[in-house]
This record gives sequence, C-alpha cells and structure tokens, in this order.
Amino acid sequence: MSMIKRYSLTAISFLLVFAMPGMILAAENRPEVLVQLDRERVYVGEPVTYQVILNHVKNPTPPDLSYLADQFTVHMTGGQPMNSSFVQIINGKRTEKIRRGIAYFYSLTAKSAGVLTIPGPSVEVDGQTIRGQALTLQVVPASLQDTVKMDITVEPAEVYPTQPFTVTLTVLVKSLPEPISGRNPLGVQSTPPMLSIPWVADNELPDGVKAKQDTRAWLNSLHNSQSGFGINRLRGSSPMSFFESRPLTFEPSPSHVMRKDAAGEMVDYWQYKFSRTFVASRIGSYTFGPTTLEGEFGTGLSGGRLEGEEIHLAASPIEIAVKQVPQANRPNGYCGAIGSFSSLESTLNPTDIRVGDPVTLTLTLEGTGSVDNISVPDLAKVPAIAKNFKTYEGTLETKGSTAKFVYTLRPLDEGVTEFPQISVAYFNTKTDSFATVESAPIAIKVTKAEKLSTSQIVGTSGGGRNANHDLQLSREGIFANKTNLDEVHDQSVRPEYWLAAIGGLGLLYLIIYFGTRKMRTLIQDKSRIRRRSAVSRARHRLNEGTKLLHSRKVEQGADEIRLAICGLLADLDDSCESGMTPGDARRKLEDFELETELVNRVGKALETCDATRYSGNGGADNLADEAGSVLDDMVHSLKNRKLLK
Amino acid sequence: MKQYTILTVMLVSFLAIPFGLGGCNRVDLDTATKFQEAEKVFGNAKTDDEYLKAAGIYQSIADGGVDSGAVYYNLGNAMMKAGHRAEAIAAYRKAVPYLADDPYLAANLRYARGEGTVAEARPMIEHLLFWQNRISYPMKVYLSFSLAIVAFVLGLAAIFTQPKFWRWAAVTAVVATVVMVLSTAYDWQRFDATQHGVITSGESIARKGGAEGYEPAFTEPLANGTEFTVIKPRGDWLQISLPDDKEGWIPKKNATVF
Repeated sequence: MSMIKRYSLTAISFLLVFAMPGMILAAENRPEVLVQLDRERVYVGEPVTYQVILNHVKNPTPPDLSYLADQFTVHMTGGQPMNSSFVQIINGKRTEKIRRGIAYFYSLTAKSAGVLTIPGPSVEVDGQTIRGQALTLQVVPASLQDTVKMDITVEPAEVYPTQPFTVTLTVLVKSLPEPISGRNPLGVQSTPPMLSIPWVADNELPDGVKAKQDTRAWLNSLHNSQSGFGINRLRGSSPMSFFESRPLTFEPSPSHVMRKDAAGEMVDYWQYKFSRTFVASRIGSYTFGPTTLEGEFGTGLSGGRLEGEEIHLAASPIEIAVKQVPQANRPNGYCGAIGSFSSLESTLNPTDIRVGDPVTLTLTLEGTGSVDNISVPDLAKVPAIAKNFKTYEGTLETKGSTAKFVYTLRPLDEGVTEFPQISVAYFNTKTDSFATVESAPIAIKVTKAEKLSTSQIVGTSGGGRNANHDLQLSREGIFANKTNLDEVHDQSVRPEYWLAAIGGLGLLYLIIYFGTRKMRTLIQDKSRIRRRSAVSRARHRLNEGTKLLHSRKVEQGADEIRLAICGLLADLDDSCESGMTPGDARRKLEDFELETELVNRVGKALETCDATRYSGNGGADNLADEAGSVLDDMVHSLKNRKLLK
Repeated sequence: MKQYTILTVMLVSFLAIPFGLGGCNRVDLDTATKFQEAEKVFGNAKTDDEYLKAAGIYQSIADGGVDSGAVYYNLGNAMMKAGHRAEAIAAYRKAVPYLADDPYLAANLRYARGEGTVAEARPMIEHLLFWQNRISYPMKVYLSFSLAIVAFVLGLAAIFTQPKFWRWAAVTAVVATVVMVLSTAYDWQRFDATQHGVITSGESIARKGGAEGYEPAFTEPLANGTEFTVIKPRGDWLQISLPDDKEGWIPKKNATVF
C-alpha cells in the first residue's frame, strides 16, 4: 500500500470517528417546531390548549397564529423555557431527545363543529422557514336543548385600576317535570354535572388581576355536600372510605326565573349564580371564560322514572376593560382614591401648643371604593398650612376603603388660632369625574416658645456678642453633623469584662493582704523560729562540746553536750532548757511518743554527761560519739513524727 | 521619698492602661470612607429621599458593629431632615450613652421631641450621682477600672508601708471605686439592660393585651415619636411602659426598639 493511500485511509478513519458524532449531534440539534394539543376532542365553545415548542431555535419569538382566526378564537396564555433531555430505548434502539427552547401556550376555542385541521405554525430560522406538523381536532357540536342555559356577565363592564368588578357565571336549569317540579334539578344526578371555570384558581388568573377572596374561601362559601355542580373536577375525600375520593359539589343559593323554552312557553328555571369579585391593578383588557358544562339533567318522566339527557354546553368568554383615570381635569390634590368618598375627618393632637412643638394631624378618608393606589397628600403644597406650619412627610394606613394619613407638624408662628381645612380630590366612578372632600377647620392655640439661655447652648460661639444675652430659641433646624473622624470609633463597652477585671484586682489584693499577714505572723512566731533552728543549734552545741572534751575541758564539754540534747527537747516545746534533768527529758520524749529504747538511750546519755561533769573524766572518751549517735537518732525519729522539719 | 516616687510611677502607669485600651478601637478605613461618603450625601441632599440615603449609610456603619455616638448623632440628623422624627429620636437616644455631655445632641433631641426647654424629671439617683449625665457610659467604665487600680496600688502601699496616710488614701479610693461602679451599673441598667422604643407609625393604638381583639388601653392612640420602655415582647407584640408608668401592648411593626 502506498504511503498516500495509507494516509488517506487514516484521514477517513479519523473523520468517521470524530466527525460522525458531531454530524449526528448537529442533526439532533437542528431547529424544529413541535406542536401538540392537550385533547383531540372538544365541544364547541370549549377551549383546548395548543402548545408550540420552538426547539433549538435561537432568539425565538412567539409564532403568529392569526391564520387560525377563521376557525378558532386564539388567546396566548403564556410561555415557558424548556431545557430537558431524555433517553428512550425501544427494542434495543436508543434515542435521545433534547429540548432546548421555548414552549408557547395558546388557548384555541373552536367556532364551529367538525373535524378541524390545525396547520402547523411556521417560523423563520437563518433565512429558512420551518413549519410544524398539522394536527386535527374533533369539535363536537353543543347540545341543541333548552334544559340548561349558561352565560357569563361582568359588572361593571369598564373599571378603573383597583376598582372592583364582579364576574358572574349564571347557569339556568329547567325545572324537573311534574309532579317533582319542586325538587332541585341538581339533586337527582348520580354524578354531578361538571363545570369548567377558568377563573377559579388564583394562580391561573390573568396577570394584573387579583380576586378579592382567595380560591379556598370562595369555594368554601359555595360548597354543598348534598347537591350541586362539580367545578374543574375538584375532588375531596369520601366519608365512606379512606381511600376513595369523590367530586366536590358547589351550589350557590338558587333562585327561580321564568323564561321561554324552545317551544316559546314560559317555563320555570332554577338559576345558579357563581359570582366572584376581582380587582385589576393594570390598565388593559382582560378575558374571563369560556366556561363549559357537561352532565346529565332530568328532562321527563317515563313510567314513573326520571329520564335524563346528556348535555354539553359552553358559554362564550367575556372581556372587561380596565381604563386609566383620565388625565384631563385631574386636580392637583388628586390622591389616587377611586370610588365614592363621603368624608374627610381631621384631628389635631394637641391643640394647645407652643411654637416649634410637634403636633400630630390625622386625616381619615372614608367612603366606598378603592384606596389601593392612594398616595399621601403633600401638605406643604397647601398654602394655608405651609404659611403657618412646618410639615413633615406623612404616613398612610389603609383598611378596606378607608385611608388614614398621619402627619407631624410644627407651628411656625404664635397666635395661629385655626388649623385650615384640607381638600382631598378623588375620582368618582359614579359621575366619571373628579370630586373633592374637605375636612373641617380645627381651632388651635399657639403660644410663644420658651427661651434657651446661652449657658444651655454649650459649645456655640461662647464669648460672642450675644454672650450676655438670652438667645431666642430657634424654631427651626438641628445642630450640625459630627464630621471629625476622630470622633468615629467603636465606643461599645463590655461592662462584664471590666467588672471581672475590677473583681480580679480585688481578689488579687485580698490574696496579697492575707498572704502578707500570714507571712508576718510566721516571721514573728518565736517558738516556731526556735523549733526551726533547734537541730542546727543542737549540732552546733554537740560540736562545741566535742571540741571541749578533746581539749580536756571535760566539765564544759559535758555541759555543752547535755545542753545540745536538752536544748533540742526544750526548743521543740518552747520550754526552758536549763535545769532539765534526765527524768524531765525522758518524760518529754515519752510525750513525743519516741521509741522506749531511744528514750532510754537519751536518758543514759544525759546521765553520762552528768557523771562525766562531776567525776572528771569518767566516760568522756565515748560521750561525744554516743551523744552524737543519740542526737542523730532523736532528730531522725522526731522528723518521722513531723515534730521537726 | 523613694517610696513615694515608685508609687507615683506605678499609679500613673496603671491609670494609663484603661485609657490606652479605650483609645485603641479606632475605625478601619472602610468605615471612615463610608462615614465621609455619608457626610457628602448629607451635605448635598435636598430631598427627603437623599437624606434617607445618607441615613442608610450611617445605619450601615452602625450595623457593621461600630457603636459610635457621632454616627448615631448624624443618623438622627439625617432622619430628622428626612422628616422621620420618631426614627431621629431613636437615633439620638442611641447616641446619648456615648455623648452624654454633648450640648448639640441634647438640643437636637429636645428639638426632635418638641419639648422646648422644659427639663425632664430626673430620678433621685441622678441627683445623687450628679455627674451621671455629664460623663459618658464608656468613660464611667474606664474611670471605674482606673479607680480600682488606684485603690489597688494604694492598698498595696498601705500593706507594705507604715504611714497611716496610705491606709486612708486606699480607703478613699475604694469608696470612690464603689461609687463609680454603682454609677456605671446604673448606666448599664438604663442603656444596656432596658429596651427602649419609639412609636414610628403614624399612630399606634395601645391595647390591653397582645392581640387586635383586646380593647384599647388608653383613650387616645399613641402618637408618632412617643417614647417607651419595653416590658416584654410576645410574638408580634410588645408590652410597653410609658414614662408615666402607664402600660399597654402595641404591634412591633409600629415601633423601633433599641
């Protein structure tokens, strides 16, 4: 194989290994339009959700479905980004599906019955048109009957932002045939008729629309466990079983209306009204509906048995317009309230004040309507107030359709006798024009401010020209900020640490005080000093006695040795050493509980001392050694008994 | 003579310790920069919102752990300029422990309260401890410790030297220490141990219990800027005591507590 051929094969192999997955991946990531319907069969007037997914489309925009307008009423209900992938293995074949794009949701309501084809939407991607798949939808005609009628109304048809409006779904059900015409036509079904109402769930309401009463509270007010309509297939636990659930039923208090049936005869209908009140915060047009109803209703009696008819019904949607409060002729004092407000009450507290003192002004706007977008009127713009009062920003409190504004004011001049009336403008929805409510003036008494002496204004211009005069208290303003950075430091204190330090000092002082006292007591204790030096003194005397004996001064030597032993004993109990006899020494040693043999040896040594002293040289040769041995044993034994240290 | 010299040196050295410690906690560069920024915003402010922005910067300094009388004072000024009188009162009162003898703080607080020059009733202890409102809380702590050191050194001198002068001097120093510790403890009780508050909402109805269902405690609602002490908090409510010892319950959201 030639070199070129080998290189070519290698290059092709590389391409296959590395380029193929890329090509597959590119094929899998190619832009596409995917469509799907949430149902394949609906009734006329019943909406179906049409989902359009723009997969792998860069910078997608909602596809235009206006081409469906002939067949459907189309409403876009939202969009949702998609970022998912899943793997499917069927008969060993692995397929990975990746979704990267946006899903757009549309509500399609068929205008006519039949099998309708929904052509796939098309989008432009990089100059190319990509079209989605066409789908078919079977639209079943609504029942031609006069047993049940349903429609949606809204009152009022136009509102202003924050002004409440009520959407009502009215269902009329023909009375049951005689003789059971008095029975509730909703109380004869084994399965309750099912309503589909799109404005039940709060989270499915259009953006900018809020219900006055939340879903749970609204449904609770309609709940009837005996009879009624099911709504949106809501289910509750069954009282008969822990494991089963059954459709929840809702039934507004019915009323009776007479209207013509299909035959043109006046017939009694049971009327059920599902009313819910909403508030729109944004300007625009909002659609409520359509609603659908399906279920079996009683139509006649046959052989004493009630016959029923399966009915499918839809009510057309209704729109409400939320208009902007007109800009024209809008007064300066317009506060944002919408409705009909009858009074503006004002209170001032206190009313007997001095110049500069704060007073609290409370304004209460009462009536019916909306105060959701209300703002606090600026009193500084009211000339009659600004002239005599310094005003501060007010606060707002709202409750229902009542708004309360609270301000702090300070009178600027003495002699003001009346707090002026205040006007607040609102938009009157009854007259479609702006209206004004006014508060009554309030009688007040403003007296002169107190004076502040210079001594109380420490740190001001001390010895200036006003030093000896009283200054008039300024009715305005505050003293300047602190600007010296040296004053900015963390001044927080931890008193517990400082207290512990002070306590520690006290404790240390007590330790030193008592330690010193103890030391002084010990230092000044003579018997203790004597006892501590007893052994050294005894050895010193023994050495002296030994030397004297060796220098033939037997008498003095024997005396020294005797004193060495007796002195040790006398030092121990702080007694007198002179005149101590061997018997006295024995008793002391016995008191110290020394061994008998040692006691005898000490006694014998003392007797030897006496004998040597009085006999001249008798026993002097061994006296020093014997006395030394006895003294050592005594010291050892006394130390063992903790009598010596 | 030599003894006196040694004792004097010891005394001065020991006294320098607490003052040295007190001066050690200077702020960092960030805080200083923030403070200057707040000053700039305050100086250029023309609207309530701009003053509120300055107040926000001062508040962030305080929230950063710098308990400074100057910061609270300026925060009070910014709040006052922004028209938030109640919040200004709260800020000024937070500055009081640190700037006890500051006449400007007293004047601004008085102005915010709108009390003119009418003096507040002072409790008996503040008459006995006449310096109580002239010396700051941190300074009292330092003085207590310094006096304790003086008493300690003089006490040592009394132990180790013969002249009775030292004994009397030590006893005098101990008495002074105890009095200053009591003075500090009083500040601790009123500034640290007691929670104070100011009504910040427009008005607040004080009730006889901690729920909306209770009857109002007073015939009129509490006005914005009303000061009180907190007896105890319970849930979203505070049991409070007014300066005239009247008690009631208010919602927490209607007040700022410090």
